[in-house]
Amino acid sequence: MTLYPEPRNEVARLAAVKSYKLLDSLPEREYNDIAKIAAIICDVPISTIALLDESRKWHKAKYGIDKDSVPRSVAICSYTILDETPLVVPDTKKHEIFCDIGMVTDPPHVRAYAGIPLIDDNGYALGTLCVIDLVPRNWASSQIETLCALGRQIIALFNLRKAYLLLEAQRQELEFLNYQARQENSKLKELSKLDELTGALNRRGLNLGIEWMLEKFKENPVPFSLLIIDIDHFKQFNDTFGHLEGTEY
Amino acid sequence: MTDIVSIFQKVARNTDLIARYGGEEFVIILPDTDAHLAPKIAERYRDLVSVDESINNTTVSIGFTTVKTGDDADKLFQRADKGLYQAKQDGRNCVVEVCDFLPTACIFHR
Repeated sequence: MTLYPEPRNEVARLAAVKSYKLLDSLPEREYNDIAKIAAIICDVPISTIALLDESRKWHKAKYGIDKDSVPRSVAICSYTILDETPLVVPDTKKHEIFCDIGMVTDPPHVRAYAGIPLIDDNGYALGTLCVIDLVPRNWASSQIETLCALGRQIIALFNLRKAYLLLEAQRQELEFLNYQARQENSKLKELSKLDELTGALNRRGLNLGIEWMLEKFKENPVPFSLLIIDIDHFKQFNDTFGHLEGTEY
Repeated sequence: MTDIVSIFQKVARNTDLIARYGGEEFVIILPDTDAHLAPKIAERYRDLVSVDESINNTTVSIGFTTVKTGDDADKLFQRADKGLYQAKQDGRNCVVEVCDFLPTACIFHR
């Protein structure tokens, strides 16, 4: 396996790539459209929008090519992300490095390549937008400039996605906190009506209960009764059953 | 305390509301219970406490009353309290009903 060069900030760059949660996501029309526009503008049969993770050049969008990903070791794009400027190779067979690279020696036999790095707002080259031809050729500067503009659109889409993810996470957290607060609230309400030691109703709960029964009795005179129960010889009960039970109050 | 409450809970019907009123005092509300039924239920509470082995030799006195038109919470409590006072006078471990402001029926149990 051919080795490939790593950007100097590779660890942080990989973290940045993952932060968009785009890797292995489903195809999306917006990206497919940009890949197609790039191919048409540059008049080529193949174009891709790719993210470079630790081992793959993974295609978020592909035009004229089937593979979902290729190893970084065979991809010219592995070199494109080393720099901030477009990489244009009019004839790969005449290039000292790329004449030997997998994409050139094996299908699809890339002969001409133009790629621009997709650089996020923090300066990390996440991946590439590239166009590929199977015959040697060159491109006008206006075509390369258009590729750069499309690259900025892709970054804008990435940023929108990240903002959406952040908002969604915040929304879910708020929802959870809200749920928790409601739970706490109902627990407190319930607790405040119960006697802590015995779990029976406390005075507050009792008063609410009696008021409620009296209200009902006014509307519909179904009788109810009230018992007051007192433990006889409470002091003796205390001595027998210990202070924890008896003298709590 | 928790033992007493769990005995009450054994006797209690689904609708009965058990409340701790003070240190050694409990109040139980008996919904759908008229003046005929109330003494029987009060007696059941008293009886079960007196025979329960988990609290040997512990007994309770019970004062009770049934709601009447024009009652408020204070009146109910006053009457039931009077019954309780009478029950204590009568030697404890008994159940006393107060229908009006005077005790009209005393049921003794020893």
